[in-house]
Amino acid sequence: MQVFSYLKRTIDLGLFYSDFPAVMEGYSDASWMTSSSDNKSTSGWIFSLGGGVISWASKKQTCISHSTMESEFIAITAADKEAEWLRNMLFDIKLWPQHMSAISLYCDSEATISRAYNNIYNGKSRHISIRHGYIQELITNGVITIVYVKSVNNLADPLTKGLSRDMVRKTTNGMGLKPVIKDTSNRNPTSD
Amino acid sequence: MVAKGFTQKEGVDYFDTYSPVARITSIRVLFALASIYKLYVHQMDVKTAFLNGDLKEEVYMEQPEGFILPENEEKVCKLVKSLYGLKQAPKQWHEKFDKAILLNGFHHNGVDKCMYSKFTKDFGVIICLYVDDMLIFSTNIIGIVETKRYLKKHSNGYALNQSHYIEKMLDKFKHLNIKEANTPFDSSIKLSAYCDKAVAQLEYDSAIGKSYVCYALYKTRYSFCYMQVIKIYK
Repeated sequence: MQVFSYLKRTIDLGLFYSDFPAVMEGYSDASWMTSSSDNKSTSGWIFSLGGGVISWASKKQTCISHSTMESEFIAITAADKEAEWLRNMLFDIKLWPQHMSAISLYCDSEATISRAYNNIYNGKSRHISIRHGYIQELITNGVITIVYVKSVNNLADPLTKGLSRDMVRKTTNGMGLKPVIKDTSNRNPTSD
Repeated sequence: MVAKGFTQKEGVDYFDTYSPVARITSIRVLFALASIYKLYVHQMDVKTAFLNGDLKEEVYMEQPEGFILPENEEKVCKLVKSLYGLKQAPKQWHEKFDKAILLNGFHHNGVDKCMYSKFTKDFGVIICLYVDDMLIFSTNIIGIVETKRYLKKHSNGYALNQSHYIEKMLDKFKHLNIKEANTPFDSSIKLSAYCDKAVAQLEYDSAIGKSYVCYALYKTRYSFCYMQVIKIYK
């Protein structure tokens, strides 16, 4: 029950939002063939705003990918759907500047990025062609831009695989999970 | 007092029962926006919210025990307003709230129907509805300071945390002698499908399944979301 142990250790952590950065950023990652029984990959994505995470997911992919690039590609598509949703929501909130810049989506695979920006069709990518078309459309419409980030700086990493202690600490911090100073006057752990 | 909703028949006593709630992501986005634009945050709870809904269907109820009219024992009550326990109570309440707030000049958010916003020259207000709980974000309301103790406010940001919830959960499973750990998942373990008969399967399910851990991770913790994916292999 390591989850409980982890929770006990990090009981003080809370999501911390501040006034910087005031732009939305997304990270996406995938780990290829994590599931040993059916050869499927895991994708993970995360969105942050104001220094704290606002939305995240980790999911086993439904379609089998042939390479790391393809599994990353599938992860990006999943993240894009959320990016579009978030963008539409912010668009309806009048506080937000109406000419919203594209959401930068960080990805740690250069092959995937060049695939996304390359609209040449070849027979090898037929099974991801719908996803390819979708990403292309979002890029042309200025909804997202895909940016390269080093794997060690990818905040979506813990959503796809188990990490070492230092990495967990680093990504946790990067996502705005910080110790919250306890307000003991309001809390009474014995009461139900 | 609660109505016996389980005796209601679909198509006769009620038609639709759904009531939308705000997505947790929207709530987090609003908190992030609140810290960026220095909004005032106010939390409100509507007392006996479901009693406010109006009933469209004809629903009859036996006279409640202890409140039977003498000489009219045979008669039944016709409900005008909804009661707790009625299947359509959440829906009627939401409908009523929705109507009232739209009349007040608020607009739906295009993607989340439980978010309402109103912007005038002087101020902007966003309301986020979660059944009978409301979060109100505003650009300028003085005198809201008193209610801000609902949320822990530090320097210039807001923080969401569930330590109280985790403590309660750990207490429930204290017999497992939980030690503190730095990572949510031991990266040295290679996962494989577990074929033997499950030990304490029910307890494990209740711990890892929807009820406890998933709630914690869903609300504020992203770092062991991966666990959710691999839970079937434990």
